[in-house]
Amino acid sequence: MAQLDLLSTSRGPDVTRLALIGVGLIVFVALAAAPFWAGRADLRLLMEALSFLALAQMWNLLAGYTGLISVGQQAYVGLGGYLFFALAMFAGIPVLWAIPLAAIAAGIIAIPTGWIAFRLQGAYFAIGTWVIAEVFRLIAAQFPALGGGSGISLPVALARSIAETRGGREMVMYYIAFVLAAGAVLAVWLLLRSRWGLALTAIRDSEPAAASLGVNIRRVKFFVYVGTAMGTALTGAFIFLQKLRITPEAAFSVTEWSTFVIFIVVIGGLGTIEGPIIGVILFFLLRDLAADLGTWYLIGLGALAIAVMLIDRRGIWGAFRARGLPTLFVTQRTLK
Amino acid sequence: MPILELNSVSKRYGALTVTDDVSFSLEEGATLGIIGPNRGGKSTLFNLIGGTDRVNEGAVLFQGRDVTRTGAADRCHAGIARSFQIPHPFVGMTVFENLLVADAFGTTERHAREDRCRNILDQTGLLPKANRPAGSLTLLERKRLELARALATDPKLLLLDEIAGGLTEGECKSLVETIKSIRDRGVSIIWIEHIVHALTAVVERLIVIDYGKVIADGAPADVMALPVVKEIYLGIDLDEQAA
Ligand SMILES: Nc1ncnc2c1ncn2[C@@H]1O[C@H](COP(=O)(O)OP(=O)(O)OP(=O)(O)O)[C@@H](O)[C@H]1O
Ligand SMILES: [Mg+2]
Repeated sequence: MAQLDLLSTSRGPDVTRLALIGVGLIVFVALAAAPFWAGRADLRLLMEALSFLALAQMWNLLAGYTGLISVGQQAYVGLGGYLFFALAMFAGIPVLWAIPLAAIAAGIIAIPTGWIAFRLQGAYFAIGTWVIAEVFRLIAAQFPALGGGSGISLPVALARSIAETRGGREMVMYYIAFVLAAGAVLAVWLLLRSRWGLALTAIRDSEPAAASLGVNIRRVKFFVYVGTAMGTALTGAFIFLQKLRITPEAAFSVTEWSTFVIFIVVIGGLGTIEGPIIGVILFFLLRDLAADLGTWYLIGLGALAIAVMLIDRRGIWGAFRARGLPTLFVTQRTLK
Repeated sequence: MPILELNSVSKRYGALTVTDDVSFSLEEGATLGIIGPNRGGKSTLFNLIGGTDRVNEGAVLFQGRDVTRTGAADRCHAGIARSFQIPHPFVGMTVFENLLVADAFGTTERHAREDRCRNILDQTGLLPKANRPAGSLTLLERKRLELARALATDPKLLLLDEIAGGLTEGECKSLVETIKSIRDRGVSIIWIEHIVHALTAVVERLIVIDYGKVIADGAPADVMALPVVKEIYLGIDLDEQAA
């Protein structure tokens, strides 16, 4: 850390920032070209990481800015997945159209759901979101056409409709994942730079002050809740297209879609755009290293999250920021 | 028509009655000072007027309109602005951005107006810090930011909660001048302050609150001369302090 301080003061934050932008661009270009250099297994891993990045950006927007701590975002991952399967299989909608349509439908369902969840405050809200997700899981198991409790596979013909060859399909899938992740980062960034961003950051820093200065907190929170539900469902639809199979357990998994996502955001840095990116990289590195450890891996992850919160609640990115590292995604408005 | 009216307002936290049947009204353009012992319920009154907290009984009227059930944001839009005794800066934003929030959401104008923010920052002495993170401000600067943000919402009624504490004599004088100039623009002001001579330099009326009750209300000199008030402000002589 001390070294970092030296770096930023002796060479000036501009140089550090340029270096940061350089690294960011290299990573972006490398990811954009991944199908041309990565092997099949690596590509799958990257796809998964990119999906998690999109989910993490959504959860971070919800929890990191509006303070709505949800442990039930799997409700929308699962809803997105199931709606996608239903739309593609029974409504005959082309696969690539069914993904955004599933997200829109999930957004519509999020309106009454949010209305119920918003009756609850703080910890009750968190528990409420989890209960809602469980209810969704139980409902999903009630449709025999969608495989009931044991789940259903996407017909081969539908998967084929994306591209004839396996290589072609993987290429298309990868670019969907890439656009989802890049789109999530960009959307959050643009949102934070807009008028809404002022309100979100104000709410994050002090709700009473934000309200007293005219920010309609409930409206902003509700908007963000529905928006992140759609982003989460969009990602969920893609995840289950890629898996080609959906079951209630996998679709509404609290471990996979809440616990892991929350770890990623908390470790990387809550309330920052860069935090979830750092978190995803770390999460997948650790998972790779600890592949054989099973449950111990989960325990280790929990311990790491607790350690981060004890050492610096702002997470890894927040800690670097506090020591003078410039931001990559600038949202600041300057008075000239 | 009075700009603000409180009708038998009461507020309880559990068994503790913090505001006890308070009634008063304030004329448009008037200035009112509030004093009283610590924990007497002064700041709570601001929470009830500003809408960050709700009354248990009674009614709050702003410009004749009942706002008792209105949220803080809508009261801000109606023209009520307040400073928090313990400053609530948006620490993750710059000082300028703090004002932008007030400008963009507290007024009917939907586009940020840089020049307006610049003027207010200049008036409150924060211009040199405009692009600094609000989290890096000292306590005194944070208090000035409270005032600046409140002004940026274009208020009709300004509620100031102990913004003079900790200032040097010179700083206090310039703060008094600033508040006078706000008053002279026609803004109604309620100011809670322990530094009585600063208060009496601006306000034309004084209310004393103790245990949630209004125990005195009138012209500053008369109020300060009351035995109950002298008892509370033991040893503080208004004339001596002003000298
Ligand atoms: N949200 C709350 N919950 C519980 N008690 C509260 C709350 N807000 C205020 N109180 C209590 O109400 C009483 C009055 O507090 P208040 O801040 O209104 O007093 P004050 O007159 O502004 O005091 P000071 O001069 O110290 O600023 C105190 O005993 C305080 O502990
Ligand atoms: Mg107080």
